[in-house]
Amino acid sequence: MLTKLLKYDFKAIFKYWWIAAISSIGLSVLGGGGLMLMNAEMDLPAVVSMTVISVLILVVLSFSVFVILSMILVIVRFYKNFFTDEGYLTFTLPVRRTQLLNSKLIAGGVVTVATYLICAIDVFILLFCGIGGENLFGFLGELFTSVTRTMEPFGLLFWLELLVLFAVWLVFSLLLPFCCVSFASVLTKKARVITAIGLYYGINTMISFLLQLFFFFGLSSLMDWLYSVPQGMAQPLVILILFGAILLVSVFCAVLYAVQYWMLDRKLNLA
Amino acid sequence: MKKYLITFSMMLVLILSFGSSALAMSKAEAQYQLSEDLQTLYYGNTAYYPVDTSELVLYWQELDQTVALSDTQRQTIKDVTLYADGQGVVIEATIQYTSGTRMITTYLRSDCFSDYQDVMSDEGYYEVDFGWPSNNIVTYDKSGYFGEKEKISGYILEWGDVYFVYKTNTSLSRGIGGLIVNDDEYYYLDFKENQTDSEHFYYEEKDLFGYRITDPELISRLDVAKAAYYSEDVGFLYDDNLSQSVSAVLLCVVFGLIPLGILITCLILMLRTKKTYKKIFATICILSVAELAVFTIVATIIAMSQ
Repeated sequence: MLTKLLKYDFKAIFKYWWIAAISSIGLSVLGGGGLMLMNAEMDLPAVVSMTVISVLILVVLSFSVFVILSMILVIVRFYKNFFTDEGYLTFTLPVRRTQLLNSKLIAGGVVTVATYLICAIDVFILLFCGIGGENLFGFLGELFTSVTRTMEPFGLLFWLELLVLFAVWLVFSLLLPFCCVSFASVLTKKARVITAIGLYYGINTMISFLLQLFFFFGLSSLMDWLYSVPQGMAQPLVILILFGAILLVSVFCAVLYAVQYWMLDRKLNLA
Repeated sequence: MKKYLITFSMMLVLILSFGSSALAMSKAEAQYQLSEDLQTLYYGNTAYYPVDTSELVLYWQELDQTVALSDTQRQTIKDVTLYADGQGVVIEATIQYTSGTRMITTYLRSDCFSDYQDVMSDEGYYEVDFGWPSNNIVTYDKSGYFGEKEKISGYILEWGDVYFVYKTNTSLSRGIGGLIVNDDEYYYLDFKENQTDSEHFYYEEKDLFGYRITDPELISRLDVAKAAYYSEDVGFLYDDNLSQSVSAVLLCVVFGLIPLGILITCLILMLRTKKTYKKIFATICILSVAELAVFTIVATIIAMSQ
């Protein structure tokens, strides 16, 4: 039954998502062409230079717009499927609440990963046209090997942990707006959208403040502490710290999941 | 009648003030001139001659005045843009040729050549400006203050506080090296000896060499300047001990207290609920316990190595 739920979720989201994706790639190709033109060292007229620069600014803006649009499509799908008239049908389906929630999470996760992949392709196209393929691949290869070498013999484990951390953070970044929408629907009847946006903005601001505090105070202290451990202990310590971060974010995800489930189960207000 | 008189007086004042300011501006509009061989720049009776200013510390401002070009010069030169340092001692002229090429030349005022010789020599007094509070400067003579030349480790370069050392006088200033402060140790790194400069020495991949400062009198003056820097309202933010304490508290709260609170809450709720809720709370408890275990191990390792 989960696959059927996913099918309709993907259908609803991808109906509009693919247009934004194609536009984003198209704009990045245009931007790449503009970069190649500027790198050609031709004496371009001022009007042409201004147009190329405007296109490049538009391209960079389009990345943000595309990411935001994808997130909005996922959240709107969640909201419409649970908290509007459509919700009456959704909750009469012979599926568990957890399956309904999981299908939204899985669909949202897949769409978000696809969005980041498209953005990566866009950036790749721009960099390829801007600095050339050789330089780009050289830089990426060097970055990968230098980090892997630094983390020897835990190089691959380090990259794997980063991937898992990204996945867990992705789940958290989906559950948070879901919870805000659910809270808003529980708290108010009329101003659900504004309340949800306000809640999400408030919580995000708090998280950003904590992260900024950490980067201001904690990062240099962490580096000092890593330097002070005995030789050979630094790499396993980094692996442990990453593992701890994965577990911490997983705890927060699980808490949000529990809260979301409870709201869907006991506090749903479709009136 | 009175109304007309007031209006007429106001208009007269306006016209006179516009006229006089225009006259004043036109009279003050002195221009720069370049000699035909471009080796001299004139401004009124003041002459400027070309010098190499690559080692000087200069803060440029674009000048509003233009360069009056002769008819011969106008055949090859399209435009000249001038920048001056704050004191007007050095002027940078960017000469745009009609062929599309460009040449940048820096000129020094003729009465400042002795200052230039002074600042370019390695003899004399050096200044270290700690930057905060104002006039927190330590002056010293390079000779006899330093220990043996030694390799400066990457750790010190990266994590030490760096203050630039200048050779300076009333007109000009040259960045000659860096003072690196690592806890209670001071190192002087000479740019010329290391074939680097203020912009690049942070990123050099080759080994860098410097001198540990050993003179007790100089060290005590540097200690006073450093203490003054950290004693100001903003300086405490750069105190390593404070930042370590704050980050330790922050990490303990985020990685320790919050998961512990979640664990206790979910344990209680798990005992009072059934089915799906029980499973969810059990998962949260397991994750919290694992996270607390990892945090305890990491904190123990770090604490034992301090």
